[in-house]
Amino acid sequence: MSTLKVDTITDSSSGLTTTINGVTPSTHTVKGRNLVINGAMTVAQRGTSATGVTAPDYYTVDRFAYNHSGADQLAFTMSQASDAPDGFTKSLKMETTTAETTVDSTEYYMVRYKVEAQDLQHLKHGTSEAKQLTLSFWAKSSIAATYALYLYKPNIGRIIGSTYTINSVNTWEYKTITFAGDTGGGINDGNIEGLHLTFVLGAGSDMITTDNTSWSAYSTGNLAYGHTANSVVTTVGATWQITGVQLELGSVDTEFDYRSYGEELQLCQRYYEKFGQGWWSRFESGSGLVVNGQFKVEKRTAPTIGLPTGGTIRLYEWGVGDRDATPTLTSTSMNANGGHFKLSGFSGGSTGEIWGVGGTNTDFSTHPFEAKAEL
Amino acid sequence: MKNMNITSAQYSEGNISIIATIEGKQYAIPCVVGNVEYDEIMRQVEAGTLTIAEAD
Repeated sequence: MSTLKVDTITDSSSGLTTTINGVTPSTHTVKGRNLVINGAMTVAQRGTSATGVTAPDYYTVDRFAYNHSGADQLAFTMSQASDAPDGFTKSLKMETTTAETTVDSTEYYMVRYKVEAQDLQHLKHGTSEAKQLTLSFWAKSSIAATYALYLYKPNIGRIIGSTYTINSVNTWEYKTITFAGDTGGGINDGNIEGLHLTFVLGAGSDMITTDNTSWSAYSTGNLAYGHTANSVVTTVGATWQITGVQLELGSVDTEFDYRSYGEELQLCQRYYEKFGQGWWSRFESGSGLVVNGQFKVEKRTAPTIGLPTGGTIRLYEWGVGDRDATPTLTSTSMNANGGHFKLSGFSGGSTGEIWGVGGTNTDFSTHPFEAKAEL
Repeated sequence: MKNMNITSAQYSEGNISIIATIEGKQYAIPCVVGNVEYDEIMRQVEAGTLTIAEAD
């Protein structure tokens, strides 16, 4: 046996057709490069559009949240848009519907993605072998300006940032940025926050004063160094869109690591899942119900359980009929895989009666509950 | 991150979970460190800005 040590293997015509045991290795055939789930914005379990977005939370596309500090008037419509560059079908769109009158010095507004810590240990941060990371994405905005973004490690409060420029308004532009490996601080292991990837939409004057282009301790001044695009948040109707978000090891931006919709959905469901159909329930009393079942995907941690806003839950018993209620939650004993939680607000039940859980009274095909295990 | 707007919180039977209203919507939250809603509730309790009512 011998070992071949070379820098590059190319076929005789300098193309990309060299085969190894019948396989042509290329970025298309090497999966799992992208640390970002749902980078193509195809999964939107919560819905495709949310209006009047003011509070930090997840609203439409999975894994990408709105966050801010100090916003006074600012409101967005946050949507999964069917407007994307070639090769993509969806994007995340932020449209300012109520402008921020003044961006105060310590305010910021951003879209944030969080990577789970145990998925980052191969970066070898905190060692002399710390790996570089390359971020690539497509962006489009009605505001031509320079936008800040940054990586942040919450367990040790270290940050590195960069900027990208929207050169032409309302035009998809491809951006790529390589970040140095961080030899000065590691990432704690486990199912906790490991890394924030944050796209800044607006930042006050105190947040942009300190160079953040190498890893350093977080301070107010190095959050959004170089950001000039506050018009996105101070202009009614201004838009900012993004898709094809990829964060990968190394210094080269490779082609987007496409996953099937089913793969992306399952990855997203570790953090958020709509559920209920197929679960079963038992009356504990005339009005109290215990709902039992198992999640489709194991959650990151024991999840928070939510009900549809104003929704009516429908129970069913085949051949008997339906039973509707707009219940309230009274407890949960769910773990990462499933379990049970309790509702009250039904009527006419008999203790011990078993019912299946359907959707809502208006859409039997809708999962009525949500399980939240976001980072 | 801006604080979650938590307007009510009450332990459920056995103190195994908290029923809370967050941004106007009701949730059942397990008492598990690492659940972000539970962690935020406890942070606000620690800060003295939120009180968790006893179970009924």
